[in-house]
Amino acid sequence: MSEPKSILVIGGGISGMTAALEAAEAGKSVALIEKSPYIGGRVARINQYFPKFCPPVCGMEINLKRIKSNPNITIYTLAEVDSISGSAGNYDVSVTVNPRYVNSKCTLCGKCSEVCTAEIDDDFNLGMCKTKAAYLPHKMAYPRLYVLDPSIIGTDDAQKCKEACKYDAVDLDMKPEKVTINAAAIIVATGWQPFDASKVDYYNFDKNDNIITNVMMERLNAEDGPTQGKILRPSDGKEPASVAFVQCAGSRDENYQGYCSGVCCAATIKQIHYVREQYPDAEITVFYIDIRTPGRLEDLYLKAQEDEKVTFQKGKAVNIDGTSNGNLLIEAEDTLTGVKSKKEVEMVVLATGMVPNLAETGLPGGGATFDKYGFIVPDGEGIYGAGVAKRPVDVAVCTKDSTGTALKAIQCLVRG
Amino acid sequence: MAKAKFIEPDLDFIHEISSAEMQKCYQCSTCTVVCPISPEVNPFPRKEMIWAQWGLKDRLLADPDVWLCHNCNDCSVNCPRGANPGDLLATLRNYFYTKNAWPAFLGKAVNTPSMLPFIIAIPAVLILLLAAINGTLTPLFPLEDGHIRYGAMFPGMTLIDPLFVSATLFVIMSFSISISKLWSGMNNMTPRVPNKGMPLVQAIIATIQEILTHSRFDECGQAKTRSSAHKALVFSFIALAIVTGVVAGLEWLDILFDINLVSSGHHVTPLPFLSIIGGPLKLLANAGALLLIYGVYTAIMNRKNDPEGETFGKQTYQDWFLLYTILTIALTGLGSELLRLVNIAPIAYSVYFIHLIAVFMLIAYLPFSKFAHIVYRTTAIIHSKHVGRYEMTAEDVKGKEAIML
Ligand SMILES: Cc1cc2nc3c(=O)[nH]c(=O)nc-3n(C[C@H](O)[C@H](O)[C@H](O)COP(=O)(O)OP(=O)(O)OC[C@H]3O[C@@H](n4cnc5c(N)ncnc54)[C@H](O)[C@@H]3O)c2cc1C
Ligand code: SF4
Ligand code: SF4
Ligand code: SF4
Ligand code: SF4
Repeated sequence: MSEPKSILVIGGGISGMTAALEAAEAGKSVALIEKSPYIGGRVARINQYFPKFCPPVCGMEINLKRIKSNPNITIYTLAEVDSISGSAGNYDVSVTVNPRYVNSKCTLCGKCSEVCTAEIDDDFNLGMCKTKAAYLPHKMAYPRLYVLDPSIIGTDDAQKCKEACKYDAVDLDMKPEKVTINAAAIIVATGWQPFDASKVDYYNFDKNDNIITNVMMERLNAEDGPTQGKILRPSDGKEPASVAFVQCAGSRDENYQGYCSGVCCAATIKQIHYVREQYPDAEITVFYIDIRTPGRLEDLYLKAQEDEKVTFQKGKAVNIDGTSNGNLLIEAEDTLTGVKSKKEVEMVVLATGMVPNLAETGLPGGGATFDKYGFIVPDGEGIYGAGVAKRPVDVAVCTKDSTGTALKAIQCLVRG
Repeated sequence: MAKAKFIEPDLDFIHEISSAEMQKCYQCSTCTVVCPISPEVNPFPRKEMIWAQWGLKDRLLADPDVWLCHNCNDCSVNCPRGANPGDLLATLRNYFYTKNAWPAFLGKAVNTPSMLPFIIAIPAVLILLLAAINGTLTPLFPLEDGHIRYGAMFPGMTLIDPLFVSATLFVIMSFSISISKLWSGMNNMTPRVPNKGMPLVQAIIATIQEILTHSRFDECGQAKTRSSAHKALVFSFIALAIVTGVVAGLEWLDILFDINLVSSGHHVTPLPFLSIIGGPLKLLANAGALLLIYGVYTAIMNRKNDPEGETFGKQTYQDWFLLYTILTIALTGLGSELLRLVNIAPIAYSVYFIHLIAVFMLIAYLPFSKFAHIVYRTTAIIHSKHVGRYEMTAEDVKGKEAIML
């Protein structure tokens, strides 16, 4: 039998991090492949966490500390899998690691960013604002290194960055590298992206700035977000006097996402709390089919129901139209009274769900089975899904699931 | 608190109208909001979905909304569960034709595919019997001065008129029974709101206007093309009804008072083209026939191009029965005219015979075929205008028990 191989984890969100840590702390060698320039995934972009309303730093910091101090984990950021060959117990995975143009000498001094003139959409803030093309993806980003966006390579900007860096950390000659990783098992923890609300015509999401999604709401309430944590409506920066939440926006709908994303009801309850903290008088309306807050989350729902300025209206909100003053008219039938009406509010939050990242592409190189929505079906040996790549669940479930998955991968490795 | 209320599900009814799709409805009410013609208070079709799931037959059979629906299918296209609410309403209308019209045995016969030969045989036998009594079957396919005259084999006064007048009387009787039942049911379901709605006569006039202009039908999004086909059918039927009425009047004038206003000849028909009344009538008849063919052809093709019913809704026997009956009428009507001109007696008389059978099926079976919608839907629209259904607001039902409970 050949030398013990490693376990490969694809995706560095909370699930991938957890799986990698559990395996590494059990003494196994782990390679973690992350597509973006930092690890942390979606969780890093969420402002507070249900059920306890704590900031993501809490959990994240501990995990990062564990990762930093564990020699068994090799992290590849800006990396993507090209192909997978072999079978359970012995895979050869070919990976491309894209250039960051910044090496490990970076001290985060920020000089490159100062001199850079080009701006790009701030992906971390979902494109709600711009960032310099030489940037730190977000304040907690790990690895603690700046990045140069490939779009400026070959321009004066790149040159200026290089000249500004006193530490010789900018390296414009970096090229994509190919790495082959020999792994006994592969954990796919590629997570999710928000549902594209513009697919649903009747919401007119594209046409009105004051219709946002729940993931955007997380950024609006975040101190490092586009509004420094103030919830302001995008069109005119007004403090909203009324906010409506539209549940199941594109979810539980055969025409879009046929499944329940599981987290967006609790996320809405959490965001009601965001609005209430900033605006004690704001009127809040939630249009829902059913509120799905299982287990302990039900307490949050019951608490929100006590708020006199929060109305839960049963019946899905369908047509949303803008008015001349930037407000929105939401049409829905209150199915408990049987009256269809239009409600005017100043801002709308679409509670969109989670779409598995691999739904369209599948796993490069194959080897995984997907259900009709693009979630990995747990079958077979060697390649395992973890977290939201497998099922739409919250962080608590993700970590449990990833721990279990790490164990499966270890068994696969030990069996050889 | 509202008192507890017991619902009484009619299980047979559920079996008859239920579909696997319908059972998937989770009451989200996307349908009532996207429906372009659903009113503000107690809108449709969400409540019908749950009534149907619960088997509340009596409510559904008295529900005006089943008829206010124009079957545009916007609801089904947008339903998150693929529950096809538009199909449910169409199924309920079909149920109404089949089960709720008097006499019930005809409802069953008209709406059962295997009974089709029987219901074609009824007019065929009646017509031949009347012709035999008239003595016009011998010689078969008669020629007068070498020319075909359909009246020679199927005389107007003693065959066509008695047959169709009695069919019409029968239809009126049948409708008066079911309409009065429906009207009082609708009054129960949506009572008149004081100070809203129109007096009955005004409601009738407004309804006729609405039907002629298709103003409501045109609001439908999904099945827009259906509206133009439907317009063609409505106007062609009006044109053909005018022609038929005038010709019958002219014939009776000729027979009873010996006044022939259209020709110097012995008979009113075939209408001579070169006469002041005959010319325009003939033009109108032919224009009507062409419009009818266009309308029915478009309607058939719409359906054919949508075999799964994704755009226009599920296809039913009732749809095809009506469409093919109309197609037969249109083709045999125009065919009779052309074959008479080329003077091939056996074929011409046979085609005309089929024409009579199809026309009889359209008229005499009206209360039991999908064609009955012209009466039921018109009644429901009149009712909605009379009670102020579209003007009702939340205030009008405030404090009242929600209708869907
Ligand atoms: C609006 C909203 C609010 C929420 N709020 C809460 C909350 O308050 N509490 C809670 O518990 N849960 C919450 N959730 C759910 C929570 O966000 C998820 O449970 C969590 O993000 C799942 O983590 P993950 O690691 O499985 O996926 P992700 O966080 O998506 O991480 C996946 C990682 O994989 C990387 N990746 C993707 N594809 C590839 C590839 N091909 N190659 C390499 N890397 C790849 C991504 O870049 C990413 O870093 C919320 C969800 C929403 C929509
Ligand atoms: S790359 Fe250089 S200039 Fe930029 S932050 Fe790092 S050390 Fe500073
Ligand atoms: S969690 Fe709530 S909002 Fe999200 S899909 Fe499920 S029911 Fe809809
Ligand atoms: S029929 Fe469809 S759209 Fe209407 S309430 Fe039921 S599930 Fe919702
Ligand atoms: S078919 Fe059209 S008119 Fe009928 S309920 Fe559906 S949307 Fe409304």
